[in-house]
Amino acid sequence: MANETSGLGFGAMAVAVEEEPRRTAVERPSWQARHNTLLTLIAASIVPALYLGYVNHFAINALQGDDWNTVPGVNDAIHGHFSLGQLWTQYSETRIPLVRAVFDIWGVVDHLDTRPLILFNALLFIAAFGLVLALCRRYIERPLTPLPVLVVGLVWFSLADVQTSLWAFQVGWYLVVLGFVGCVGALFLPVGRRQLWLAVAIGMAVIASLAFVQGFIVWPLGLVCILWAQPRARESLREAAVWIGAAFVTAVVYFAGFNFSLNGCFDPSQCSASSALSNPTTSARFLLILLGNIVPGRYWEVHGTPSYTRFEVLGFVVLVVGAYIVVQSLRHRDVERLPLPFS
Amino acid sequence: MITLGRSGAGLEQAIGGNRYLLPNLIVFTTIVIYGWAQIPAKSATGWVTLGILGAFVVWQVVVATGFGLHNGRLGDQFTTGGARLAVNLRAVPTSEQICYRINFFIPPESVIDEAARDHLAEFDNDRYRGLEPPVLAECTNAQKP
Repeated sequence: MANETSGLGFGAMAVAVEEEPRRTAVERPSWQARHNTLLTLIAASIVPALYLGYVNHFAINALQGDDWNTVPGVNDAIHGHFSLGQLWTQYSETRIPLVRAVFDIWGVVDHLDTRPLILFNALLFIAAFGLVLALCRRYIERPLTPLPVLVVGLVWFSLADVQTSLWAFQVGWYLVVLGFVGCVGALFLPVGRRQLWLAVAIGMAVIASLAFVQGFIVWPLGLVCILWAQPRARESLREAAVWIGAAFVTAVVYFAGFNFSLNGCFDPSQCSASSALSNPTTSARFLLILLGNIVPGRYWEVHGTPSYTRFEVLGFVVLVVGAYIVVQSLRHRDVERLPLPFS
Repeated sequence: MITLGRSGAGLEQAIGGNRYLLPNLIVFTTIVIYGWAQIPAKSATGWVTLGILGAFVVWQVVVATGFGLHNGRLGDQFTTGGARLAVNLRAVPTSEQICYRINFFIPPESVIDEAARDHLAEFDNDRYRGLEPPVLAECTNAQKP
């Protein structure tokens, strides 16, 4: 019993909760159990604090890569020539009005000092982590314990993602993540005022979509969340209809005048959906390598032709485990009130 | 979406720039959360599964942290080099500038001039001004007969 309550996992906590009534009057909860909330809060703060320290140490006030492409817009904003058209201008295969807005504002306020902007990205990521923990709490329907929270933090703030974490322009990705987690949180965490929180969820999905085009993935995921528990209930169907309508309007506005042939590749003809679909083997390998890169191995130092085998094997394992979790969650949908695996 | 948009650029794009990792880390986080919430620690199979997951997490954290610290330092050097180059570009012989700009992803001079006029980012302080631009052997040697 002592071992099981020592923060080994969510499962262990369940055992502790079940056995609670059998305690005699003489027995008192362990010191750890009595201070679980405080210990969990400390555990939840350790990794974000270390991550913030890492970002603070390596962040530099210097423009990198895509940052430079925002300079003309920032120049306009500083000299009073700001325009919505400039914000809306297509950037490769995406529109980035929120990214441009953040850069314009930062240019006016702080001469585009990229160091605080990179730290701002870290704060967005930490805010998203807080929401993830709240969703975790709702998912397991038990109090969180320190060790699992610490482990989730270590994975969430993985330094594998070194480039994104030290590049101001990637504020788009952090807005996508916050928009996504915020959307799921708005749909599942609050009790009551359902219409208001549905509107908040739609707002978060719009934020994700206007950060990078990849943010549009939030719309189908949000629909899964809405229909998860009671797919045939009238209320769920009504919310789903509103959700689909909002997604449709967002997409129509976003893609009006969109040039689908633009992309960020040196040879634009290579980077298209049709090109990817006509080379399914390469696309499948690309996907596996992407997934396998969670244990990173290459970045700056590139020598010779790389071997992808390790990444492909690991990516395959991640894909299979992910698919297993999705299938299991679908099978137990009546018990699991929150579709976390889809999230 | 990333696969559809980028796979045509070659497999190297999937890892070379270390750019598209965030969504995959979220997938991994979800696997970890699911493992902890759903795998029963009471059975032998559960312990083995949790053990494998735990070992994998330890491996991932150790490798990723080393990778992040190492490449954070390299990125720091590279970005500082780019800033020194951008601020002091005129100190580089004209014939070598294209090579340097390509290597450090520095934009055309008109954009640099805009940033300098508005004192943006590295142009807003004296940290880089007057410093020697970085030296790349491939750029200087390229000009030699």
